[in-house]
Parts: sequence; C-alpha cells; structure tokens
Amino acid sequence: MKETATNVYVVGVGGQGAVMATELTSEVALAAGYDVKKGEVHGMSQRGGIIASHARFGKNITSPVIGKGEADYILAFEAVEALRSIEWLKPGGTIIVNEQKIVPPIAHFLKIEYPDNIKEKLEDGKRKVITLNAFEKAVEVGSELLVNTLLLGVLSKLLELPEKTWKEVLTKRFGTKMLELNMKAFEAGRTMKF
Amino acid sequence: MSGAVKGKRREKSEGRVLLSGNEAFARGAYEAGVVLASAYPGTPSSEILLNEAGYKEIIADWAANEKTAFEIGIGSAMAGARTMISMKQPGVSVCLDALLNWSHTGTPGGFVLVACDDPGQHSSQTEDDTRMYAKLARVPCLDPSDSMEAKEFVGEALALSEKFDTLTIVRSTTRVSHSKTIVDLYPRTEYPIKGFERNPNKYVVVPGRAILRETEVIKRLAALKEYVETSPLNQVEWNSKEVGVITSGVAYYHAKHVLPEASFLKLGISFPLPEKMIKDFASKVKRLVVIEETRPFFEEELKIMGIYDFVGMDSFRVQGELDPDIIRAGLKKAGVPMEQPEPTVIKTAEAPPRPPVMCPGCPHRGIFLAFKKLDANVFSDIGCYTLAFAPPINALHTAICMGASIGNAVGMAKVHGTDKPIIAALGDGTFVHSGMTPLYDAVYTQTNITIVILDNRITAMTGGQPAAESGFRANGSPTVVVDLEALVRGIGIKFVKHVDPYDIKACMDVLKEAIAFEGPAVVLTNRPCALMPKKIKDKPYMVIEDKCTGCGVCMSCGCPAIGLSDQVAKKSKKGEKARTIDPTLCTGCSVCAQLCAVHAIELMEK
Ligand SMILES: Cc1ncc(C[n+]2csc(CCOP(=O)(O)OP(=O)(O)O)c2C)c(N)n1
Ligand code: SF4
Ligand code: SF4
Ligand code: SF4
Repeated sequence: MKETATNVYVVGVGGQGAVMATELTSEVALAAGYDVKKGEVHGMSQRGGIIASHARFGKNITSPVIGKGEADYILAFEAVEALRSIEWLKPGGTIIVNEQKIVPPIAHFLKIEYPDNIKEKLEDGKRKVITLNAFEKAVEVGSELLVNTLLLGVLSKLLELPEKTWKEVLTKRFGTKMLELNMKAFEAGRTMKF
Repeated sequence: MSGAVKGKRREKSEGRVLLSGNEAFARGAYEAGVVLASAYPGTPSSEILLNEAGYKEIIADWAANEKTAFEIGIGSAMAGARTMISMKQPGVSVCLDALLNWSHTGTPGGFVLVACDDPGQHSSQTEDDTRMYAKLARVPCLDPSDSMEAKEFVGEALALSEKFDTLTIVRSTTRVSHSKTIVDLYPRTEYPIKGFERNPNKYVVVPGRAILRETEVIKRLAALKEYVETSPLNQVEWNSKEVGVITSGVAYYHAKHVLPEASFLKLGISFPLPEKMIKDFASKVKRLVVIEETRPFFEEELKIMGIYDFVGMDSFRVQGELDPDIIRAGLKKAGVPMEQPEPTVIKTAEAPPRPPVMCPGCPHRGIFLAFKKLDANVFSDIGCYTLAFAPPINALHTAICMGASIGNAVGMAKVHGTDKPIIAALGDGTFVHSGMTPLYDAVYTQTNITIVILDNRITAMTGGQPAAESGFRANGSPTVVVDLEALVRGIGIKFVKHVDPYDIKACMDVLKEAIAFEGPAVVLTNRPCALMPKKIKDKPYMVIEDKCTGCGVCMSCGCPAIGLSDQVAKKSKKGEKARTIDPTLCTGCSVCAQLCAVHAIELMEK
C-alpha cells in the first residue's frame, strides 16, 4: 500500500458527473483500506457553474483540499475547465481531458471566444496530457449517459487501486438495469490506449 | 485518521463509511437519540435535515424560517426531548431573538443548534462567524474538523446542553459540511421524553424573573470556563516545540498538512476558551501561530488573556476561506520555519469565466424580461431569480437579505425616491420566510407598489426543498398546499392577479394594470421550477436557419440552451453566425421565440 497521499482533482461543469467520479474513487480507496477525504463546494452547480472536486487517499490524510501544484492526476470533464485547473497539477502529473466543449452561455454575450488548441495550451513538457472525446466514445459504447463512467475507466487505469475493488464498487453503485452498460463503458475507458 | 474525541469510543462500530459533514451531523442526531429536527434550508447546511428526514426515529421538517425552526425546537426541548436545529449562518441572525432568550431560560431537553458558516462566501450574502453569536449568547460552541467529529460532536453538544442547562451550538463551515471523510457508525441511544413541567420562573421571561435568570447565566458561563480546561474535546498534540499552532475546525487539517512537525492545540470547543490550557501551550512553544476561520476570534480572545506575541490572521488573509496554499504563504511571510517543500505551481493559460445562470426553461426568465421592458425599479430578494441582476437580463436592482424586497419597496415609495414603477419581486419561499409581515406594512400604509410573488412552488436556489406552497414534507409525504392568493387577500390586498411568467406580453399587461392600481397590488406567477421536484421537458424549440438574421436578440434572455451555430446566418447583413438551440437542453418554454422579431424560432415538429 502506498504511504504518501494520492491527489485526484476532478473538474467539470455542473451536471456532468464530476462529483460522482470523486465519489466512486473515494469509495474504492476506502474499500482498499486507505484513509480518504473527498470534497467540493456545491451550491451553484445546478445552474451551470464550475465544479471542482477533490479526492485524496493514502495512509493518513489531513486537509480535504488539494493545493495548487499538488494534484497527481486531474480529470477534466470539459476543455475550458481543464485550462482553469492546470495550476493544480504537479510537475510530472497527468491530466486527462475530455475534449467536449461546453461554451459558457455568457461568453457570447460578453464576446469572449471559447479558446481553441486546448491541448497545446496545456502542454509544458513537464506534465502528461491525455485527450479524448469521451462523448463520442460513450455514444459508441451505447449511450451519451456513459461519459462519466468511461472517463472513470481511463482514470482508474492510472491509479494504484485494485481493479477488482473498482468493479465491486461499480456493481454496488449501478442498479442491475444500467450495470452492464456502465461496466462496458468503464472497460472501454480502462483499455483505451494513448 | 480522524481526530474525533480520541480513545473515547465504547461499543463496537456498526460499520465504517464515507459521509459528508452534513450526513454525519444527521447520523449524530440519530445516534444521540434526537427526537425532533427542525431547519430552514440554506447552503451549506441543507443536507442535514434532508438526511435526518431519512431516519424514521426523527421527526424532521422544514420550518417557515430560521426563527420558527428555532422556536419549534424550543417547544420540543421544553418537553424534554432531544432536539436539533440546523441552518446556515445568516439564519442565526434571523433567529437571534429566540436564541438569546433561550440561552437565558436554559433547556431541560438537550438542544443543539448546528450553524454552518461559509468562509469564502461560496453561497452566502455575508461572511460572518457563528462563534461571535456563541459569545454574545454565552453558550458553548463546538467546532468539528471532519465528519467523524461532526457526528460525535452532536452527541457531545447534547450532553453538554443537558449538563449545563444551556443550548449548545455546533459550528460547521462549508468544507466540513461538504467534505466526505471516514465515519464509524454506532447504534442509537434512546432518551425518554420527560414531558412538559410548568416552571414560570424559568420559561416566562418577564423582567422581574429574567433578571434572576441573568444571574444563572453568569454562573453557568463560569462553570463552562472551568469545564473546558479539562474537556477531551480540546487536545494538545506535542511535537516539535519550534512552532505551536492554536486552531480549530477544518483549519486544523489544513495547518497539519503544511506543518506536520509542529505542536498543536486543537480546540474542539471554540467558546468559551480554556485560558489556562492556552497560556500553558503558548509558554512552551517558540513561535505561536493562530490559524482560524473566519474572523480573528481566537486572536481577540488571546489578546484579552494578555497574549500578544503570535502570528495571526493578518498574515494569512483578511477574508475568504483558508487552504494549505494560503497558510503556507502566510507562514512564509511571517518567517515561520517549514520543513515541507513548497509545491511547484505552473500556469499555462487563462480560462474564460463561467458564472452560474438560470436553467433553460426557468420560470423567472420571462417575467424579468417584462420588468426590463417596463423599465421598472425592481427591489428583489434572495433566490434563483437574483441571477437576473447579471447580464444579459440586468433587471434586478436590489437584494439585501431574505424578505427585504417588500419593505425596501415600501420605503422607496414613501419618500417618492423614483419616478419609475416600483416592483417588489420575491419567490414563494422567501415570501413565506419573511415576506408576509412587510406585506402587512404595504397594506397598512396603502403604499403604491406592485408585489410579484414568483411562485415556482419550491425553494429552488438551495436545492429544491419543499415549503408551505409545495404540498409535501421533508420526508416526501403529502400535505396541504398553502393558498397564497387567500393569504394575501386575508392580509388585505385588493388587487390579486395570476400570470403565466413564460408569456412576456401577458406579464406586461398584468403588470401595467397592477402598477396603475391605487394601493398595493399583488401578481402571482404560476409556473413551477423547471428542475424540481420534477424535471420539465416539453417539445423543444428550434431556429429556422433560413429566417435567422444572426441579430442575437434571442440570447438576451440568457438561456444556456441557445448557442452560436457554425454557419453564417442566411439573412445576415454583416456575416453574423446563426443561432441554434440545443434540443436536449431546451424545455420548450417559448421565451426566446417571443423575442425573435423575424419569427425564426419555432416549435420543433416531430
Ligand atoms: C437567512 C437566510 N436563510 C436562508 C438562505 C438560503 N436561501 C437562499 S435563496 C433561498 C430561498 C429561495 O427560495 P425562493 O425565494 O422561493 O426562490 P427560488 O430559488 O425558488 O426561485 C434560501 C432559503 C439565505 N440566503 N438567507
Ligand atoms: S432551479 Fe428552478 S428556479 Fe432555479 S434557475 Fe433553475 S429552473 Fe429557475
Ligand atoms: S433573434 Fe431570431 S433572428 Fe435573431 S439571432 Fe435569434 S433566432 Fe436569429
Ligand atoms: S424555448 Fe428558448 S428560452 Fe425556452 S428553454 Fe428553449 S431555448 Fe431556452
């Protein structure tokens, strides 16, 4: 078991399932015997605001908040939110970016352009950037509702948590109806090559 | 692992789970035998009552406002039942009168108030500190730092309450309430309800008797000050004596993250403070650091004790939430030695802002556009509709505190402060909370204002809690629906009309009539929230590409379902892009279609 804390920072837009991703990661870490803390501030999320959720696990976790430059992994559900979060990533860390774009409604009004070439903007040579279009991939697997489980699959491959525990937690989480599809999406994410 | 009341626990745990602080407060109420829970919703506190309602042993309901929640709690505690009240910190201001008097009388049944502060104002109008209220009321205040403590401190608070004949406050913060940490579960302990015993000397606060209670409160505070010196909730953790930190709440963990080698005095009770313990700790460490959220409360108390030499709030921040980054920067500035390396922060690019917006199909959107067209001065309130202050709607001009709208409008009208129509606009939730009494003022003085009750049948802003207008209770069971029209007519309003808030023209017509009416007039809207309790999704609208000129007027309603197309609009003069509507987001409310002069937005045919 790893002694030092692993810090997973998940960002997205309200309603995308970013909180569910840290929730499940935390459950898996708990079941694997780690101390865990998970946190985010919610309130405005319902109305299209920003979500940033922190999950930390290890032998002994103190603060529930991941500081800037401390995240080992960032999972970004949305491209602009990846840009906003990048300060949190440590040198040597990995960011997984879902290339899906959700243009802030106010952007048109304030005449702000949605930034392009997000991948290039994130790359600094010191950190690893993984990009994918999880929306398209999820539709391929069976439904657009599977974006978050698919992304979780990608993340899970990088974390030192047992695959078996992931599957147990997912089985507990999803009712029988959605289980098969979610497992398929998780597997698809887990086996993606970058 | 969790620092909760170390070495204290008795029975075997029933399991180990991850709970948010709010879930843990509710679990604490369950385990500690709470019989009645009463609350008023408000982020970050709302999930407490929601979870209490999930335990069949607890009678849990939303109250009309924080003061009635508190007073219902008093009734229950007077019967000797263990009672828990919860609210966000601004709510404590609302119930302060009841709170101060209930401190005076003392409580026969355990009474705990969980108040959630919001440092950083993630979702609050003010950034105040509940510890100040505890000091004012001279009641103990407990300060949990994680979910395990959140749960355990509820039981501790109830025991303190019964032992010292006082209500007890448990103060949470957004991080404690919303973070999930590991909690050990224990079974519930039942406490029999003793029943009401008459005791006018205690419960009737007429001056002659109240003065005797004051003596009791002074004695009680002295006893509490003695108790906190040995309470297991205040813990010293000796480590290196180079740096000693006095802290409480989640700040304890942030500080531990940055200063793992330091010694700590962790205050589980943040009022009253253990003076001897603090002086002893301060005398044994080389550099004393005080790390606290939100106001410099410990700092001022330390100065009263005669301790001046420490690194305090001005090194860390003057407002906002603490986190490890802020603490590290503050310690560095103050020259406090740190052994942990500083993280490397690399920034690469800026991201555009993403403020919250009203949902697609929000019932508030259309009628606020009508206010705008009428160029009314809109005195408003706190709810989802407050978002109408921002671009692109910009049709809301004040929001002071819950229930302020009608009173503000009355005052403005009385001094003829504007020639524009005066509209007071507030939600049904806020009207029930504290809008009825100022409506009485408007009737009593026959002031010429228009009051719009934005009745979306729910308390939406805080996550969709039911209220008197919803027809169901906190546990989901059905109940009567309060008839708002009958209510306002009962207060004496003569002009009452209902309007469909999606229909901008109809809204303007009704509003013009109401504004022309001599005396106060009430307009009630009749569309539910598009999200809660049921998601509304009718046939969506679409932009007919051949007709769209790319003028962008439809976007002035701020609906997030409307976006820019990749195509230049066919009828565009200057090469503007056409607009499109995302059919998965559009609820079919029709508001944008009413704005398009060339009728390019039409109902999507299957
Ligand atoms: C004193 C106080 N208590 C609670 C809150 C939390 N709060 C914010 S808006 C709101 C009520 C919203 O209900 P309503 O007026 O019906 O508007 P809606 O959000 O449904 O549009 C509440 C309870 C607060 N801001 N202040
Ligand atoms: S939650 Fe309901 S009231 Fe609030 S913005 Fe959304 S639709 Fe409007
Ligand atoms: S208002 Fe009508 S014409 Fe103008 S951009 Fe919108 S859809 Fe096109
Ligand atoms: S009809 Fe227009 S304003 Fe209403 S939800 Fe659809 S896109 Fe938004």
